[in-house]
Amino acid sequence: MDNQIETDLLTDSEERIKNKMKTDDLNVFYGNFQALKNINLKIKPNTVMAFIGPSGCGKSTLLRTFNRMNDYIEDFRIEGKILIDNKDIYDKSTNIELLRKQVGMVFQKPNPFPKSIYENVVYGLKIQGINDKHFLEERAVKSLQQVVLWDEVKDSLKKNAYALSGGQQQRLCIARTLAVEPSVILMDEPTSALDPISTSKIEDLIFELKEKYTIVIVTHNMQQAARISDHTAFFYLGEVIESGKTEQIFTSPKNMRTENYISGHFG
Amino acid sequence: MSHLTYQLEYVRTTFVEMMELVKGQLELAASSLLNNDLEIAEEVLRKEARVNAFELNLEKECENTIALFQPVATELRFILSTSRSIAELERLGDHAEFTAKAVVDFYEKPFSEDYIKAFYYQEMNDITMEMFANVIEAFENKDTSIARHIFILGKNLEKIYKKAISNFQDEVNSKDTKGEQLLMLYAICGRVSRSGGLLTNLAEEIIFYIDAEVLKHKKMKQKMKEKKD
Amino acid sequence: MNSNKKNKLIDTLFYGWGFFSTLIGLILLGLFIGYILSIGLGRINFDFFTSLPSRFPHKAGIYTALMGTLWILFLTTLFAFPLGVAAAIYLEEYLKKGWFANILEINISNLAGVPSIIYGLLGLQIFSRVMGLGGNLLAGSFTLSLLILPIIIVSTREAIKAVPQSIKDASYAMGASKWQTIWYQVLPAAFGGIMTGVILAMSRAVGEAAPLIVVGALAYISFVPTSPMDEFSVLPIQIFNWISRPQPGFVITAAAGIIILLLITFLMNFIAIYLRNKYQNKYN
Repeated sequence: MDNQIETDLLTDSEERIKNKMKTDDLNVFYGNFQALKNINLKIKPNTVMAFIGPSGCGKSTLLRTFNRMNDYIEDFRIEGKILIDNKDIYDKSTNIELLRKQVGMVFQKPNPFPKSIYENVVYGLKIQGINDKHFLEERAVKSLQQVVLWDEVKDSLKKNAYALSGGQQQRLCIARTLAVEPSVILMDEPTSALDPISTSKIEDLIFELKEKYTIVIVTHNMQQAARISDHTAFFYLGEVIESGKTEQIFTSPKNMRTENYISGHFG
Repeated sequence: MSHLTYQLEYVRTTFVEMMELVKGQLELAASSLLNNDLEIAEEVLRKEARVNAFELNLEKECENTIALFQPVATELRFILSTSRSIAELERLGDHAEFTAKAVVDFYEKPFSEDYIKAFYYQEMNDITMEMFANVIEAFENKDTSIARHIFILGKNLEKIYKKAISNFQDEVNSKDTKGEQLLMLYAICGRVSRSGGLLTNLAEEIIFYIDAEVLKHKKMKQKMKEKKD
Repeated sequence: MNSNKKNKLIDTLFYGWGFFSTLIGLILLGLFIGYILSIGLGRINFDFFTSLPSRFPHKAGIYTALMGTLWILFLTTLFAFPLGVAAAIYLEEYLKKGWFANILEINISNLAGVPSIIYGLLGLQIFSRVMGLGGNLLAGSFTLSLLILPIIIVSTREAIKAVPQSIKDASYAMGASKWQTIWYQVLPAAFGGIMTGVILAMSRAVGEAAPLIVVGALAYISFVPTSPMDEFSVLPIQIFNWISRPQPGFVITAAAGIIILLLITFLMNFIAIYLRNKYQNKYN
């Protein structure tokens, strides 16, 4: 009997080590419109997975299924499974708020709260009921250091977040996500609203973050996907046309459509 | 550190490793011939697989670097010159293999000291080793003046090789010729001469990478001129 | 005349017309205020504030009416503010969008335009008679609460709508519940707009006379209310009462009362504008 339990546990953690996130025959509908068809993707832990493809092909939709942000959309319907750490996140027993603490999200346009820099970073902790000032301050410093913002803002933590530049605001948004110590970070075109220098700072940041986190990033910028991701999935009209190691996709893609898209011959 | 910096650093380090490996191969091959050492010759033959593995790996990395990062300017020249240099290194490895194989084949009937002297084999090898050391130093220190010095060494090598050929022609016509060994040594020396050529190419690649100057097909005088800023 | 000159002419005419219209408004306002001030300003002194109403104009004061106004203001806000804000939150954040929500929205806006005397009749029946409160402060403030409730609901909804969806998204994405998002993000962000709406609603309530009269507020009162169950009067009613008196001296007292009422109204509006400006443009 004990052996049986041990074997089960082993398989579980093996699975976990193998795949941080997985979709099983995933289909997503908005009413009658099918936004995603038969998605079967595996994402390994501590890697960066990039979703590329033309606009409106389902990349953001898929990203938002990972933290159930699509739940707020009318007629959103899902078939198939999405597993994170081997658990189906659309199962009835899932605690959505807990899920979102483990799976953080950074949006396209930086959206800090209209509060001070400090309040922004600790918000995620406060809503969990954590009030220990010392603990909050420690976490805030750590997160701001991780996003290389600490030196720039350490003397002005009480300033309103909107006083920061666009690139700084986006790093602040990443910091507040990191403060709750998620294991997955979802990024929806995080640099498309930023200038080139801020963009490259954030790309460097993502490259460093993947040591500790699993990152999924949607990007319109193929070169960005090439620069920072380990794996890439190419989406077209709701389907994954091809997915694999980034170096393989960009040196010898298997599918002609993939080749056309990354060569810029699309449309 | 950005991903690109990390990648370029990896290519650089691995390329230096490959150079050290191939230089070692040439040294060992020469040593095995001069001392008629079977063990060393066999070691060279075993290591040849490693040289090939390096070539394949570095080639792939250069390809990936271009596909994923679209480097420009110095970084682009670095990748292009390294990519070409890898092919030259592989050929240098081949020359070492050829020599080692000859040592193994001729182990029972080794090359005579007189012949080896006649072909100036030791001298030629010393020069090529000096050239190789300069190549590695020039690359690591990004020093083009050292690279340009290699051209002079190359010229010296050619002079000595001419003398060796002349001696060969004399030996061919003499009465006590040991034909097989003579011809084999002739082939081996030819390889050494070509190694010199390959090392000169490597020097040109380094100058291309650092100074953006293309020295291919240029005359010696032009090659020696330092690029003005 | 070529089109360029024509456009310039239209521009000038338009500018002139706008300027003239504004001028008319300002001039009329200036005339009115000047007229009132000229009549009543002299009458205002400490006694005016502390005297009870009297048959004699030189003795009459606004003490009781002013106290009544403050009481009414306090109680009305106490009831209407939480109720209105809560209703607006429900309508904007919880109610599913659809035909029912639309009908509700239209009807609430309509309620804001219903004549205040209707509210008075409603209050009379429900609060004064059925609930047996008579004409006391509770009845009056309940009635006025109903009156200003639609105003608070509409302006709070607008303030909540103005909070960018991106901020709510960010809050949800961090694992906050709907209520946490509303309490920690939406309401603080909408605070300025909500306050502005509440204060404007209050300044409307301050000036109401008809519904309170219907409900049973007294025209003449010689004591200050000490509990919500007490009967009361308010400034507008007191002013109306004075104007109806034959003695010429009461014209002056009425004017003085009007000045005080205007002052209160202006003060509330200034506060509303100040708050609106202070909390505006926080998202940029």
